[in-house]
Amino acid sequence: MSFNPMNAVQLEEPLLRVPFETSRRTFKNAQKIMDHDFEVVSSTIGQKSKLSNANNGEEGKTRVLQEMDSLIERVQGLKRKMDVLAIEQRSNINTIGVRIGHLNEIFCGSSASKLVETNAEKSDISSKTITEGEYKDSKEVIGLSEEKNIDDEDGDNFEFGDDDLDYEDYMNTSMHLKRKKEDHEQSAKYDTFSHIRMTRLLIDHLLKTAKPLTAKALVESSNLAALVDTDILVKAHNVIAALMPPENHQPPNINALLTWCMTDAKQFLKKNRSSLEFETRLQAYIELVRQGKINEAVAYYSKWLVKWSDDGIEYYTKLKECAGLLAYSDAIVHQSRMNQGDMDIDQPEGESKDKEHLLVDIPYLELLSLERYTRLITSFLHEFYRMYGLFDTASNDDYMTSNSSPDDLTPCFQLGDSAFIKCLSTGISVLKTRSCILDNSKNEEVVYHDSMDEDDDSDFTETIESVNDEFTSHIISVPKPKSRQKRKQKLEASSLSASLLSSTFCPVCSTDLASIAKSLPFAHHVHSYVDSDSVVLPNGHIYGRGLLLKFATLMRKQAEQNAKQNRQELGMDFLGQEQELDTQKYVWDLITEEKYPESNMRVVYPS
Amino acid sequence: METILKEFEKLQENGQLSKCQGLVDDLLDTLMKSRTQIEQGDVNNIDAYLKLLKSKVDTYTKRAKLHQKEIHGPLSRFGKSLDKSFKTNFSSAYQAPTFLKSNEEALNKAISMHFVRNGNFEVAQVFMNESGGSYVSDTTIAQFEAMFVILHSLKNNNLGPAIAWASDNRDYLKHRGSDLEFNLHKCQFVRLLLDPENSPSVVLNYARTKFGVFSDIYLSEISRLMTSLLYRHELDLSPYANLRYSPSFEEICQSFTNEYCASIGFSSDSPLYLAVTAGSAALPILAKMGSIMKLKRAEWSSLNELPVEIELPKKFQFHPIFVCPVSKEQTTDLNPPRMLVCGHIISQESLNAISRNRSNSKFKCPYCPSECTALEAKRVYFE
Repeated sequence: MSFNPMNAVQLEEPLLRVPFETSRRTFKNAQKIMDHDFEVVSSTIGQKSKLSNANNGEEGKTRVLQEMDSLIERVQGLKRKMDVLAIEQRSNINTIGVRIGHLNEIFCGSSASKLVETNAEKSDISSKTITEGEYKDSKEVIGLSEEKNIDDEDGDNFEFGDDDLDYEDYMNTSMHLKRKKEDHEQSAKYDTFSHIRMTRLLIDHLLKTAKPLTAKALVESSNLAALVDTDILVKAHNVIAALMPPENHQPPNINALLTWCMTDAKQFLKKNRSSLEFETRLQAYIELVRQGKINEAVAYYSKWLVKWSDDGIEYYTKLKECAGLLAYSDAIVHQSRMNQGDMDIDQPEGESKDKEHLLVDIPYLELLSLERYTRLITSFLHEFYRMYGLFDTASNDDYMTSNSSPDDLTPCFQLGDSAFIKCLSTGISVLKTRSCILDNSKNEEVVYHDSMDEDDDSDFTETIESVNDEFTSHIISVPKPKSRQKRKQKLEASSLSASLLSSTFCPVCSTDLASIAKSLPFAHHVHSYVDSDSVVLPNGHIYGRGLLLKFATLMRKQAEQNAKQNRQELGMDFLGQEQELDTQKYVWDLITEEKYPESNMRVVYPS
Repeated sequence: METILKEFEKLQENGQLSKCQGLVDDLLDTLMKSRTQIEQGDVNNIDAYLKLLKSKVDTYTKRAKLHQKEIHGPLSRFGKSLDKSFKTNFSSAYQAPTFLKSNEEALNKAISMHFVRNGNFEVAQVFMNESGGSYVSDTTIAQFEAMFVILHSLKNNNLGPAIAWASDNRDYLKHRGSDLEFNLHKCQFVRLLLDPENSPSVVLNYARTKFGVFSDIYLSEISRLMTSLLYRHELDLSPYANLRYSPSFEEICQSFTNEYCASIGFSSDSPLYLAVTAGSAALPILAKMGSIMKLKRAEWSSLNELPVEIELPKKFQFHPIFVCPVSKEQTTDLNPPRMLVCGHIISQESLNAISRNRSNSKFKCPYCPSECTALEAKRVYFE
């Protein structure tokens, strides 16, 4: 997972894709209205000019002037529309610019721009006097690298004053440090980028899960309006919300979807020969039939639906079936009234059984099912994502199967559509290890481990006996290792060793995410991640040597303080105590706080 | 990214509709002019005017097509540069089986906490109202509010509140082995030191009253600070130059945040942020993997595991992970790590295989010449 800007950008396609698609649509729109109006003007004038002499004379003049006036009016209208579109286009292109700028930020100082800069920098370094700020920065870097190399120094390097580096040494290593500093800057940039991405993902997620108020508040507080596509997501959400079956089992409202089909998406749907508009119109017709408005239904049918009959056999068949519905209108009205009381739309099976019982002879039942609305939502989302290039659906089938268990998923947008959820669940998996503690309370798993531990413990004592003397002779007290379950207890963030153990900060173990993490897969590893300076303590626990020494320093400090306090209280001799403390060095187990002489640490080779 | 940038520059230049707007203006202008001409001109010349107008309109139409082409070109080239740069198909990325709806509550809680942790208290409130649950307790919110008040004044160069908090929590910080309080005082001292308005006695007085409690642990550092007083006016040239920057402002803020969060039982980074960041770094890799798998018509054969190893940078390593070097499998409680006498560690199953399930017979370590028996191999624990 080393940082690679191009990889990081891959996820951000929608960021540029959406404003690009919008600007393309704006342009197409402008092109269409321009072509149309120019054509009208040209042909009107063309016709007039062809009729030679007919226009001459006072009568002809008035007629021509009238024509001209209407043309002028038309072009004035065109001008107004073009002004609006031009402003729209400007803002579209600006949005693209802002977003490219944002994405480009993480490229600075890396790969592409690095190539350009290196030459300039080479000459820079020799001539430039190093400013204090840089000196400080490099100190930080030194501090960092020292911490990592703790293994070959002893515990005393935590004394203060170790940053007394020679200035000349610094100058000698300035090249090296400069590079390090660049890396540092790069990672700082990536951090900023990640934080912004986090907020963007959250806003997107909030909009998709019907929390527009929070989304709005977050957009305002984070100042990221240019980086999120609030408008189109809100629009889509409204369409879907209207299609969700209301509580009272009334059919949902399709007007929002119809408007969307006729305005925003008209061109797109036409170009892609989508059946969405047809299906929507069909649904409107079906509702008219359901309500028993036969005349309106027939009128609607002939106005909006008949024209599709030439578009293919599927349309034709569907249209035939729909026309057939009219024959059963009375039964349908009767049945829908019956159902409004007690029909459970969530269980289509029960529903169809009911119908079989009530009206054996209504065919085309499938057309009447409220399930159709769920399908409308699905195909709306499909077209919506395609239109904005938001979702790369390999095939329609894939998309359908991903929604196969509607009960598990939230209404409106499917949770899986949210990039936030994708990142979150993947991220949890990436970080989820076998040592993560996902449940504080006892569950089956822990009980199971318990029984394993008993085996382990007996095994362990056995082992101790047989292990060669060299190793055991140094053990002061042979402790039974605390049971695995005890070790597994969550570390208190406030305990002394907590700040040293990275596991305290594991996000997967945190109360926030632990319950979500349970159902997600583990990370896959074929390489070990253990401290390179691993040592084992007599109780079998493995830690980094540096870590143990650091902890020992802390423990010693604390002990000294306590001892001092005691001495002051008791008025005891200062020197005698001090000497006693120094005779032997100890280390403490970070979790169990068991105490061992330093010589009892044994180097291990885990990999 | 460079191609996108290059194409965007062209788009920015040529993608606007201003030329088309100009053309419409011209057309309107011409129409109006010929209308006046017709109105004022000879009634018998109308045909001629119209013919002239017609030819003008035709040139406008041609020019319109040209302008449109000029816009369409950069627009579609920009689109192509997007296609080229974003090849990853994320639908083929490994998808966690299901993200259960039962998790929604937990997710909402995590999101609320994320807002609170980032000091977005209003947003958190709106979110909780909107999703209808009070996911974060008022106490926690108040605790974080207090933290952000202190952080805010820290950022405004006011160390007072932070120092007050640190001295209130001195015992706790001491127990944690944290240098925060001393470092805050150190910062304050350096600040006094560098301000020429302050007489040396003011600086000295500050040191006298504040550093006393720290003399047992920080004596060497305190003496350094005291001698720096001698170089007060040329600090940058003195051996104490780095006092000015250590600890740095960011370090102080970070260390304060760490300690404060720890004191109320939280880690300093939002878990949600860490997970999402890890996920967004991993998704492109998984997607690439997914498309390769699709090409080879292979299936994920993972048993509740991600299909590929995602390398973790140091920042994201929270638990030690031990993979048996023999079997290349992660050890579990069922297949625990065992240490041979020589210090090499392998998994229980590998041990069984190598020792052929005979606990007393000697075998050679797979990595070094030493020999031992399965009985001597000791169960070890990675943290």
